[in-house]
Amino acid sequence: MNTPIRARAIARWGALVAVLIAGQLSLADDLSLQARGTTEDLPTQWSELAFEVQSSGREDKRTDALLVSGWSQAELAALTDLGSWADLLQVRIDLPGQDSAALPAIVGDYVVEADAAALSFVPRYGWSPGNSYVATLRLPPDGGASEAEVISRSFYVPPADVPQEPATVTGIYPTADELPENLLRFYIEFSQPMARGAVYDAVRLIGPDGTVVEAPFLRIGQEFWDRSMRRLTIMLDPGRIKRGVGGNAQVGPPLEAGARYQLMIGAGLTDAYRRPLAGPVSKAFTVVAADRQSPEPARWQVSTPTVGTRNALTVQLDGAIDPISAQRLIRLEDADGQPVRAAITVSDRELILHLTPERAWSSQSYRLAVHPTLEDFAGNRVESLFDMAAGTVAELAATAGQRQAVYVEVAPQ
Amino acid sequence: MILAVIMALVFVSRAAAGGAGDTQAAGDLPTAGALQSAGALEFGPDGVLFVGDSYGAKVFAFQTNDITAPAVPVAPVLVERIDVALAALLGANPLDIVINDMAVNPLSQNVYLTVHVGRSTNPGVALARLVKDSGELEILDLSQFPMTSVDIPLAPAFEETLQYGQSERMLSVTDLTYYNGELLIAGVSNQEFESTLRRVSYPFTDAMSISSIEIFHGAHNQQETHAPIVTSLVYEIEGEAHLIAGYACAPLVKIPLAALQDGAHVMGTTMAELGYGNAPVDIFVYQPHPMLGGGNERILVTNDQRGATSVDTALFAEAELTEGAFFPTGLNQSSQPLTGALHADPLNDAFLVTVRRNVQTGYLNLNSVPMGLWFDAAETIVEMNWPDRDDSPAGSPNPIDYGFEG
Repeated sequence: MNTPIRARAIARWGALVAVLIAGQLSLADDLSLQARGTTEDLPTQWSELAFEVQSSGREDKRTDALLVSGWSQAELAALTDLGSWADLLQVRIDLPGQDSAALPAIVGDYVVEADAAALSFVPRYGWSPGNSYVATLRLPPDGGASEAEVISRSFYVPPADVPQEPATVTGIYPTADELPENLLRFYIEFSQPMARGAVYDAVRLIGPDGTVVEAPFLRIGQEFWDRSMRRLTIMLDPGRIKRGVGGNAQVGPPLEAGARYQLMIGAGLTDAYRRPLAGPVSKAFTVVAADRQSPEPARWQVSTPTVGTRNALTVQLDGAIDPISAQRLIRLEDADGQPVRAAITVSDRELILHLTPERAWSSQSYRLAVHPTLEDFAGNRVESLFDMAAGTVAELAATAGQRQAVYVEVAPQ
Repeated sequence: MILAVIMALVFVSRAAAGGAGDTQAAGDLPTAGALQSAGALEFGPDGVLFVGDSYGAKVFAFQTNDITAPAVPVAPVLVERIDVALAALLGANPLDIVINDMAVNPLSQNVYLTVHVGRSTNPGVALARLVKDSGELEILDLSQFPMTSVDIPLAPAFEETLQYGQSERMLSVTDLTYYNGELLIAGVSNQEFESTLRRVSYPFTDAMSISSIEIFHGAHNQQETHAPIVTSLVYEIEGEAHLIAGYACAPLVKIPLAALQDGAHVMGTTMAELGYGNAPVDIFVYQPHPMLGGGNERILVTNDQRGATSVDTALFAEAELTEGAFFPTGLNQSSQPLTGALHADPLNDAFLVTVRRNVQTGYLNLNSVPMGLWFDAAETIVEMNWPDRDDSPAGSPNPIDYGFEG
């Protein structure tokens, strides 16, 4: 209910008592701000102004100042004479679900920094980290007939423990320069947690003619981030990859063999503190023939770790595998089949797997347990191809409940 | 005119600190004056405002010089969603705004609020004022008011906690009552008998008398010395000044001021039990209007878990509760239609001002309810809120039709 209606409602019932007590009831009129000073001395054109939040040099960022700079000394003098800075520069907190323009401005201290030709504002109770603010500057009309100039700028005050540097892209997978036509996914890794919401505007696939490829990615109303918000999965549209499916039949696959593409990650992608990436990043690659082979653990070549060391076991794979899939679906086991804790990484265009055990190798035999759903970048699994031959799906489904790990022997010496 | 304005969030070292003029240079975040916290409020003579600072274990007296009568003495006040309005002024999230107390300046009818920004033991401390004539809510700069203070000796340590983690330190000052040149300061001490009443003359002197108080709790049928006074006022019973005090869980007690000598352990007389599972919030005297029954002066106690309790002051002289009582007992209590008031204080003879969370919308509003009627039609959904219709011969009902004849 809006306030005037409320005020009338209270007055209506209050009047029952109040009229009898005092014989009358009336509500005070709204008071409006009285203009002070004169506009005669104002400049006919205002300088270009810059807004920035400047550190107080203290650890407590709440005492940082909003600085509006770029004034001429004459402008500052004219405005100072005109009246209250609080009428000219107002800073409001942007509260969720509230119309910030309708809220009162933040109480704070205004200081004209004559040396810097700047006006500074420090909120008396500090900035509230993690909130957005709107600064509104109302420059009065000049001596001519022009309207008052209103400039509004939004800014964000990040939480105190924010890293100084904006986020960067630390890795794009697959790392190979040649990628199969039926590539299913990319992973993009970032130096720090990112914000949701901008992926499909910021991440683009550029085709061989330099134009943006239309709708190459799977978009189902959400973005695929890991829990730390540092790894983004970009899925190419499987409907355009699977042969004989509508998307594939009508518009063809998103990637075509023989052509060169670029995956572009624009700076519009922001970190968790809503700061843009340090800069745009791209990965150029050439598309080669489709990969229609499952990973075959039987063809992997396993190194011989040295007993008594924690040296990494290296495995030459039969083809690039998905590193996230590998970390989740490959396990080192001891002779009794008990899991052995080991860090798993991939390198060399995801063709080499490294397992570094937490404890030194002993002279017993070990084995790698490979889950049958381990995948490569095209979604081909140990147990099946992504794009299966017609008539084979039912057979796979029937045995899905009895999946068995595939084992690779490891014999330290 | 083209203005290319660049917005950049850059943290660089501050080149030219400070500035000229009468504004405060950027520096430490100010507290309100020297306050470490701001809790109980009470107005003294001539616009003097007492502010209890439990964390700092002090009571401050500010000369507000706010002594001009309002333009319309009987008008109400209203600030809807006052937590959002305070959050906007203080640049904070409404969830971090805590309104600790409210007091109306009886001279100006301006409404004062003690406000914390943040819920830690190191909050931002603010004193807000609703200016009645303009409706403007403002944050006061307390450094502009002449100020004196008095220390609260024997305050509990921050580390002493109640069962559910509340620091006892926040109970150093629970209530302030000014009467006849003296300030009565209720709270908890670190002594064996914790519930303590301190008594100091104003203007402040070094001499402070300290009494401990023991009372009878009807709801658990025992004598009690821990719980502090939550709210109190001074009322003269047959010519003798008594402290009328509301305690948690929930006795209403009378204590002759003459008994509150330094070092005394005083037995209060329990007049009534306001009912189990409940604590009083605020207490004030009012004169029921003839239209609402008239009669003797009454006292209203707002409760945190029950409807407000109205009692007849003429019964105070004889009242004494000596047996256990679980439910509201004594003083011929009458339950009033006023719940959920975080704070309540008379605005003038016509209105009570409350800070209340609307049970239906969840909004925290500062609003006025008619004294004695306690009813705000806008706060609830009642038949009289329907518009008049042609087919209802009497139109919308109004309270006059409910038999409130004079």
